Order: sequence, then structure tokens, then C-alpha cells
Amino acid sequence: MSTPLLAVQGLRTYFSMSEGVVKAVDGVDFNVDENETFCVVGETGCGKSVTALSIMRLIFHPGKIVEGKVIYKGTDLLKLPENEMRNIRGKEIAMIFQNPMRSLNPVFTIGDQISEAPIAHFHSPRKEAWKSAIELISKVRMPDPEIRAKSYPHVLSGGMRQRVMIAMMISCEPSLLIADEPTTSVDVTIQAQIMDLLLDIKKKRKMSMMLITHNFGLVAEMGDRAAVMYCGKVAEIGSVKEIFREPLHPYTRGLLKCLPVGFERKKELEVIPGTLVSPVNPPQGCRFSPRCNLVMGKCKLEEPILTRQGRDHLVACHLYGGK
Amino acid sequence: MIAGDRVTKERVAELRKSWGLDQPIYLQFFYWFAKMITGDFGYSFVTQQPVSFLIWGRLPYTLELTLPSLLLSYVLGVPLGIIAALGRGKSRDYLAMGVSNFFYSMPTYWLGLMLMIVFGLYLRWFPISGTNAGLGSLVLPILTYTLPLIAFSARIARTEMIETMGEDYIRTAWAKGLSSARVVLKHALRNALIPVTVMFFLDFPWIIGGAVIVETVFSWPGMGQLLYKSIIQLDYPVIQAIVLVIAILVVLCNILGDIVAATLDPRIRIERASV
Amino acid sequence: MSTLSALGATLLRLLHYRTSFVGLLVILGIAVLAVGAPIVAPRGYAVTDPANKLLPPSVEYLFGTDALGRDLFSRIVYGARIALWVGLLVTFIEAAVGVPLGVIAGYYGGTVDKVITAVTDIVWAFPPVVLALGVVTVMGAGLTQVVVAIALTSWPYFTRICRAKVASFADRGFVLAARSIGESDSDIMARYLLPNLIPSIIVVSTLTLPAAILSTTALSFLGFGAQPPTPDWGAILADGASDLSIAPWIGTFPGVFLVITALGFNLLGDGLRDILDPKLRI
Repeated sequence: MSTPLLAVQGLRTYFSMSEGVVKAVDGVDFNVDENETFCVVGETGCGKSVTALSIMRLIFHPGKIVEGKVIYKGTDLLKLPENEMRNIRGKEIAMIFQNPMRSLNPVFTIGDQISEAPIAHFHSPRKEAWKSAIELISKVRMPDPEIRAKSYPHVLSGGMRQRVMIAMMISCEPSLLIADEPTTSVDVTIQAQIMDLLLDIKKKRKMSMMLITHNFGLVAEMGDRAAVMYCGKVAEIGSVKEIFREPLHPYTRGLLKCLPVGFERKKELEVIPGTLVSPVNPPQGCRFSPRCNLVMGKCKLEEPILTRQGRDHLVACHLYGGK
Repeated sequence: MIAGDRVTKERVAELRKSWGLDQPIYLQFFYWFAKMITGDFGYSFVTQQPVSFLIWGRLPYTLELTLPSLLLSYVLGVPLGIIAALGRGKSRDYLAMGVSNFFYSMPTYWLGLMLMIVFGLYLRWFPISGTNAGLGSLVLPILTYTLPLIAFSARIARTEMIETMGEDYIRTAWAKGLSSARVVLKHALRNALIPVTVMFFLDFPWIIGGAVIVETVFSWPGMGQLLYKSIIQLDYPVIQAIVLVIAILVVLCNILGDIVAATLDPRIRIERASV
Repeated sequence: MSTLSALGATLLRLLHYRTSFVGLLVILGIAVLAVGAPIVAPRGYAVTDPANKLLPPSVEYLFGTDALGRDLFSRIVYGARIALWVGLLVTFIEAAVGVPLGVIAGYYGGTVDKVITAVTDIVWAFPPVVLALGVVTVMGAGLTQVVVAIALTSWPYFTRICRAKVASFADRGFVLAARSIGESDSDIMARYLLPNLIPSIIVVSTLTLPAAILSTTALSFLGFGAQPPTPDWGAILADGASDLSIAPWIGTFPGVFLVITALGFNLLGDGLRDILDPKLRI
């Protein structure tokens, strides 16, 4: 097995708030291989976005990456000086964000914003960059690219803006594209189009994609491998096939059971009781223990660590001897 | 009352006739309005001079004071606010905002008096009243104006800059791998300065108001001082005229502000249909 | 959350903001001076003593005396009463006028909104001093007139903020829900929208109060506000201006107190804004 494109090891990112230290990401490990779609799944607040931002080193005060390694193509990104990290952002690793409505600068044209990254990274002359921008606009399946390039973001709908984001971020042909809930804020019909587009781009450019989502349907459709996160830690990780075939962690099982599959009428929807623990003062032991229906005494004392349970399947749970 | 105490009834009637006060009220208003439009503001009760003459004569003095102050305060204040915003939470932010708060909390007229005492009386560097010393006599009044204004524009610039830097599109710019200079100067500044620039135009009428105080303190022969004197002497034609001029100025500046906003912000311009 | 516990929570958070807490202490100090004026001030504010006129600060006359031999320190202490009282009154009137207008404009939208916004914009853009002078011309000079005049120039601050907030709330769920169960408009505005505005109103009040004090004293300085022998700080400064070269202390100390008071409110307001409503643009 070749070396992974991206290896995250022991990542911890904490935020110093007035209420205390929020441990948004508290010991996360996973790998993303070349040419694969890696999904990071979990509830809102579990730390998936912060993980992505930490990889890009876009964590600002009061947040700080306190520990860990992010090894990309052999180099630990967390140890790079800022100006070298800038070469990585946008050029090697790119990220598209959740809220397209506010993610584009309102005072610059679309063409301007798409050509910006190539100009900055490759010093392309303006005219060439503009032409490439127009090509990219048509690649992301927007009509009238020449006209679009001259317009401003506010005339575009959410779905269109997301396409512009994609165009912007693939302009320098990155090896890894991180997509943070790219379709959460758009209509369902547009969702399908955007995901289709992303898949197409990924295939054509042999790009790896790290898809962050809380939508298991997307994971099933698009993911090669996935990590289930809970309260800043990875609960289960492995190939999508194995996870769906045999979910091991009680949390994963609970999530999958929550999906209203089968449309059985008059049957109550399943829920996972309880709510997330406070990220400021996580309980001792396993973080899921307060809500777990298979909880044991050990769970409240010791934190489980990831153990291998299958060819490509790891889980952090005492049920499987995690210690 | 205006014509003196020991005036005869006939004299009063004569005056009333010459000022049109014997006409029905709506006709009076009509004549007044018609005259205003044509620039005829009538005659001062006190000096018998045409009001427009009085105002024209004093306008340059007021502008001499207010325009440089406004420009200077924004030129100095805005960068100060931006530097504070970029160094948010650090010592330069506290320092800049502390000094700014201090001047912002200060009554302008008191500042004028303090400057007079220090620079005019003790150090004797600058004159404390009148326009006799040429450029020198401009210094203290302009300083009195500018310092609180610097505080004001710095605060606005800082607030807008902090707000802008927290926007999603700035995060997008960072994610593209652009240099800090590009992100701040190109992406952030261009947005943050829009409301600041509009404020510049909207501030101008407010400055004229402050002129009343500063000109009175420094005995500066501008429109502000004229307004002050006219109110004391109940010189109604002058008061009306000045208020009207200011009102027109307010409307003009508002329109100008709107134009500037539309020029700088593509969202406000008339656009074609959305996609 | 009960009002008292909300107040307590806010004060506790305020401790983190050192400058704002200092501002609060300053205001409390001035308030103590104001309330305890009869005790703190060694003499009455109108007690003249021509034999001891224009004396520089000394142990007996802490801030010196003015042209009529009045004790400047006593006058300033009594002046604190006027300053705080005027500030509170003006701010109250501004809020009483501005908040309802803003809520109505934001809630109903349409023509009502357009009309209110137009009026608000004009008043807001008009230089407050000139507007106030206009009122004084018509109504004559005096502290009451000045209070009304200044209040009439600054209510737009409240209107704009309230309007923006209400407009953003108006299409949210709970308004529609309330309407659907038949609640009247005025009920919705009073019981649902208004409580949500209170944090912002508090912040705006704290930040416009010092401006009100500065504006009213400015008018007193010009002679249109408090009439003698009222020891309004601005009026005292006017006395100080005429005797500037021979008795600079008269023109200095009232101003120092003005700065301290205004600074206190501004610092407190900045902190309150960060706690209660960080997005407020003022």
C-alpha cells in the first residue's frame, strides 16, 4: 500500500474562550489516499470543520493547533513557516466552504476572483488567467461564461456561487480538495448537481477529495472511505463498504438507524437520546458513554483508542477491547 | 422690540409693511420661499445688510476651518483605526483606542480652551482668537476640530475593519493561499472602506454644526459665529437663511453619499436580472 | 432568566473587561458625588463672596473661586447632579421616541417604513447643534428647552438599530407563529420583539448618554442652556472662557469632570456592547 497523500496524526485544536478551553479537536488520526474520496461524518459540533481548517492551518485566535502532525506528501504542514504554507493553500490543498452566499467577495468580479489564485501562485499574466477563468466557469457547468466572468457575486444564486467557489479552488489543480458540507445550504436538486460536478472533476483530474458532511446518504454514494467523528475524536474509521455493512461503534449504529429507511409507517423514528457533552469539560472516559445503550463500567473511566477490527476498519470502543 | 423701545405706532406699521408682515400668513410664506429660491434671503434685522451678502462673506472662513479638518481627520484617523483593528487585542489596539476614547469623550469647546491655555497663553506659540496671524491663527481652531474627529473616524474604521476581517470571503481569500498583504489590502480594505468613505460625506454637515462652537470660542468670523450672534440678537432672517443653507447642504451630502456608495459597492448599483 | 440574574451575569462578565469595569466605577463615583452633593460640597453653589473672587486652587477652595467668589469645587459637585440628570432624561426621551418608531418601521415595512426612514435620515444627518439652536430660538433659552432640543436630534440612533433588528426578526418563525394564533400587532411588538431589543437598547443608551451630556453642556456653554446661577458644567466653562487668562482653573476643572464622566460611559458602553450585542455598529 502506497504512502497516503495526507496523514493526520494526533491532531488537537483548542479554543480559549471566556467559558473555558473548548477542545474542538482532541486527538484525531486518519489518512487520505491518492485518488480517493474520504468522508468525515458526524453531528454538528463534533469538530469536523475544525479538523479541515486545521489541515489548512486556517485556525485563528482564539483557536490554536496545540499538538499533532499533518503530513502531506511527506512534509509536516504544521511545522512549515507561514510563507511556505501559503504555497500549499490553494495550490496543493484547496477548500470549499459551507456557505456560498457569503464566501465570495462582493466587490470583485467572478472572473477576477477565479483568476486570483493562478496569478498569485503561478504568476500567470492577467489575460491568460482571465481566459482560464472563463474555461473554468464553463467546466463547472455555468452558462455564458464570458458574461459570467464579468458579473458580480450578488447576482448569482447559491448553487451558482458554489460552482464559482469550486472553479476558484480547482484553478491551480490541487491534489486534495476539502469540501466542507458543500451542499448543505443549497436546494436538494442543486445538491445532486453539485455533487455530480465534484465527482466528475475528481475523476478527470485524479484529485483526492475530503468530503465533510452529516449526510450519510452522500457518504454511501460518494465515499471510498470514511471517518465518523464524535466530540472531537474519531469513533470509527474505515472503508465505506465495511462501515455500512457492519457498523461497529454504537454511535455509528445509532446514526445509521436514525435514517428513515424503508418508510415503515406508524413506526417511530429512531433517535439517539441525550445531547453532545460540553466541549469545555468532557466527561472522563469515553465521550459517548452518557448516551450509549451498550455502556459498560469501563467506559466511564478510560478513553478507548482506535483498534483494528477488519482489513480497513478501525473503531474506538471498549466493546472491541479498545485500550 | 426690534426697532427700539420708544418707537411710535406709525413707525411700527411702516416697518411691518416694508417687511410684508401685514400680509396674510400664507402669502408671507410664499414670498419668503420665492425669495429663497432666487437667493434673496432678505435683510438682516440688525445690520440692514442683505443676508446673502453676510453669508457669502463668512462662508469661506468656515470652509477654511472645516474642510482641512475633515480631510486631515480622515487621513490620520482611518489608518489609525485600521492599524488598531489588525492588531486587535494587542497593545497597539488598546493604545489607539484609549487615546481615541479620550478625545471622543471630550467637549470640543473645552479642548479649544485647553489648547488656548497651553499653546496660546503659556507657550505663546499661536494666537488665541481672530484671523490676524494668517496660517498661524488657523492652527488652534483646526486642531480643536480635528482631534475629536480623528477619534471618531478611527473608531468607525476600526469597527468596519474588524467586521470585514471576520467575513467568510476573507476566509476564502486565505484559503486561496494569498499573502497577508493581498488579503488585507485588496480584499478587506476595499470592503471596509466603503462605509467609511460614505461617512466622510455624511459627516460634513455635522462639522458645520460644530463650527458654531469652535468659531465662538476662537472668535473666528465664520458662519457659525454668525448663527450664534443672530440667535442672541433674534435676527430671524439670518437665522432662517443659515438653517436653510445647512438643510440644503445636508440633502446634497446625503445624495453625494449615496452616489459614492453606489460607485464603490456593486451590490447597490442597478443590476441586470439574477441568474 | 430573571432580570436580576441577567444583570448579575452581565456584571460578572464585565469584570473580564478591565477598562469597562473602570468605566463603571467612574460612573458610580460621579453618581455618588451627585447624590451626596449636599454632604460633599463645602458650600452651596450659589453662595457668592466677592471678597474672595478669582482665587486659585487652595486647601480652602479646592478648585479655586470664580468671578463672583463662588467655590468652584462646590459648583462642580452640584454640576454632577445636573449632568447625570440631564443625560438620563435626554437618553430616556430619545429612547421613548426612537424605539417605538424603529420597531414600527421594522415590523410593518412598506410605506410606513419608508416614511419613518426618510424622517430619521434627515434628522440624523442634520447637525444636532444647529437643530438644537433652532429649537432654542423658537422656545427660548433654558435647560429644559435644551434637553428637549438635544433629545429631538439624537433619537435616530435608537430608531435605526431597532428597525434593523426588528426587520431581521420579522420574518422569523416566532412572529409568524404569534400572528397565526391571532395575536395583535401591538402585542407582538411589545411582548415578543421588544424584550429581544433590550440588550441593544442598553448598549445604545450607554453610548449616547455621554454624547447627550456633551451636547447639552455645549449649548449651556453658548449661553442657551442652563441659566445662571445653575452650575451646569458647560455654563461654568463659559465663565471660564471669559476669564481664561486670569483664572484658567475655571475653564479647566469642569472640563476634566466632563471628560471623566463621558469617558466612563464610553468605556462601559464599549464593554457592554462586546457582552450584549457585539455586532452593533456604533
